[in-house]
Amino acid sequence: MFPDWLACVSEWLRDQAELTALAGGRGYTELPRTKEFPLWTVNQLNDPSVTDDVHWAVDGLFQFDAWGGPKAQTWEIAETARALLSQRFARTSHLLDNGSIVVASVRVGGVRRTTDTVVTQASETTAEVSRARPRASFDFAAVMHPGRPAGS
Amino acid sequence: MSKFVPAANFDAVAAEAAGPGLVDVADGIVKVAARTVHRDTGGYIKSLRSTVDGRGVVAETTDYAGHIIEWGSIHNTPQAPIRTGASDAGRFEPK
Repeated sequence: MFPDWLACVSEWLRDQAELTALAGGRGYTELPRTKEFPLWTVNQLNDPSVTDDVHWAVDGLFQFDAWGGPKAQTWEIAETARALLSQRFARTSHLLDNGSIVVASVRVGGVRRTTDTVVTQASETTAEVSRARPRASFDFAAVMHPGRPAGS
Repeated sequence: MSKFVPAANFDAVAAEAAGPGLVDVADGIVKVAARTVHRDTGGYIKSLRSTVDGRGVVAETTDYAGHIIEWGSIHNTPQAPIRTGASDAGRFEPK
């Protein structure tokens, strides 16, 4: 069996001192009900196998979001995470509480800098949206496999 | 010794030849997106479509909340139906 890729990725990101310096320990896989900004979230979208017949490696697709602001801070958090994933997460193995994984490669997308639209604001409290609107997001894909034999 | 010399309009010919295959891929993306998205998203599933226009072969939604469903918001986790469909169709490259 594979480890929980999302749990591993989020744990690894939370362990990075550079991100902690910017957002404290506020890194999540689901936005908390009570939010303190800035914060970041990471979500796994998919994890298709890279091999046809062997359950061994996946090409996991993830979305990282930094919520703030100010805007400059959301960008700094997203760009820091992007650099860490590209330069420190890739091409090495990680022994984590949620599993042992080997990351073969990481491909990152561009940082999208957005604000929530009036459609979103209509269903959320004014105070919260006005604090949360600045957002910087990017996708990343990682080819990963378990770091230890999964047993038989 | 022979030498292959591509026609001057090779790119256009290749793109046209690939069209039907790409339409099949776009249709597949839409089907996976419809299967992936939550049921409580109003008319989102009906809004999904694949089409060929000036942008090329496209899989898209025209739902007014499509971007929130795809990317999430401060109160909504991203569902990413179209990216899931694209990922399902092959190697998805983040852009």
